[in-house]
Amino acid sequence: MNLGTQLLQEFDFREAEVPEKLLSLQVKQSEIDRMMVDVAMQYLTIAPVQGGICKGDIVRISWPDPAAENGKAEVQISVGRNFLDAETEQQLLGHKAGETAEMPVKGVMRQVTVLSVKRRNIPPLTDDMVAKLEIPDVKTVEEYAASLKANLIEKAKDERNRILTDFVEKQVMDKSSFAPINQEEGVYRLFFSVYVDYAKAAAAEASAKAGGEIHPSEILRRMLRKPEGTSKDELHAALHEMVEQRTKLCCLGYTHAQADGVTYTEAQCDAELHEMAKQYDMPYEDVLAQMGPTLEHVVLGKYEQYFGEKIIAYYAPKYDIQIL
Amino acid sequence: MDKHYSHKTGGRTCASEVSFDIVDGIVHNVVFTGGCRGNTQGVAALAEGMKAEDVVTRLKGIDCHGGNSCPNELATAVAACLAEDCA
Repeated sequence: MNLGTQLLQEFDFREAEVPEKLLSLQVKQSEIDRMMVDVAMQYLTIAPVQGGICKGDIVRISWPDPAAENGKAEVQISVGRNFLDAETEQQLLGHKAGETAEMPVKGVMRQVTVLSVKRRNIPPLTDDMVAKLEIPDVKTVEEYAASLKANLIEKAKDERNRILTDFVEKQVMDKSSFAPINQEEGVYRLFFSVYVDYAKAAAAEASAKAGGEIHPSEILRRMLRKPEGTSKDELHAALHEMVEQRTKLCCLGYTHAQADGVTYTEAQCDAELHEMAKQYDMPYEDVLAQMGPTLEHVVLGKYEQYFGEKIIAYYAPKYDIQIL
Repeated sequence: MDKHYSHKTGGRTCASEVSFDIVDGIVHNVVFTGGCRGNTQGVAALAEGMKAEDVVTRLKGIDCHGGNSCPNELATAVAACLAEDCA
C-alpha cells in the first residue's frame, strides 16, 4: 500500500495523557426510571375522582358570563400548565366536583363551578407489561431495568469512545514522527481528491438550485466550519491539515494492522459492501458512495478504524461507570 | 370516552412518537418524542384544550418533508383515536 509517508517513530498510544474525566462515565438512574414510566404510560387511564383537585388533573369549570352562549363560559383545562390563568389554576387546587367558589379568572372575579375532575392514573410497571415488549431474554420488571441500564451504559460508552479515540489519536499524531508526506501520491492524494471532487460536485448542485454560481471554495468553507471571509489560502491550509491528519492516521492503522497480521483487501471490502446493500435493501452503488467513494477509500477507512479500535480495546476497560 | 393514546410515526418524521389524552373530546397533554424541541413543544401547547376535531382540521396536511410533518402525525393520531372510539 502506497501511504505516501512512513512512520519514523511512533508515540505509544498506551502512554497518552488521558484526563480522568474522559474515563469517567455517568448514567442517570432518573433516566432509567423515566424509561420505565414510559412503558407504564401505555396503560395510563383517565377517570373521574371524588377528591380535591391536584396538579395535573383535567378539570372542567364554568362561570356565569352573559356574553357567552347559554349565559355561561365553560372550559376544560389540565391544571398546572397555566394555559388558562396561573392564579385561577392555583386557587382550584383542593376543590371538588360540584363545588363553587369565587376566584379571579384572567383578572376578573368569577363564581367558578367545578363541573368535573378527572385524573390520569399511571399504573405501576408489571411483568406482564414488560413481557408484551417482546424484548429477547427480558420478561420481568427487574430484567427490564437491568437491560435499560446496560443499554444506557453501552450508549454512554459509544459516545465516549469517539471522543476518547479522537483525543488519543491527536496526541499520537502530534508526538510521533513521520517522513515528509508526498502530496502528489498515495493516501494524501486520494483523500485530497475526494474532498475537492465533493466540493466541486456540491457547488455545481447548489449553483443549479440557487440559480447563481456558488464556488467550490464556499462548500469547502462550510465543510471545514470556517467563518465567512476566510481566505482561499487559509481554506487550503485547513484542508491540507485535515488530509495530512487522515494520512497519518492511515499510516498508524496500517502499521498496527501489519504488526498484528491483519490485512484488508478491496475484494474483502467489496463483499462486505454487497452484504450491507442486501441487509439495508440499498443499491450497492449507494452504499459504496457513502463508504468510499471507491473501494480503495473503503480499505483506507478500515485501517483508520483499526487504529481507533486498538485504542478503545485498551482504554474501554478503564472506564469508571457510575450510576447517579 | 376518555383515553390516553400513543402513536408511533414509523420514522416518517423527526419525532418518533406522539402521545396525548382526549377527555370529553378535548385534547390534552400532547408530548412528542424526538423532533425539533421548540417546534413540537409549540404545537403541543397550541393543541392543549382544543377540540379533537379542530386539531385534525388545523394540522392535517402540513408538510415538512416528503408530504409529512410532526403536526400532520399528531392530526393522523388524533383522527385514529377518534375513529377507534367511533368503531
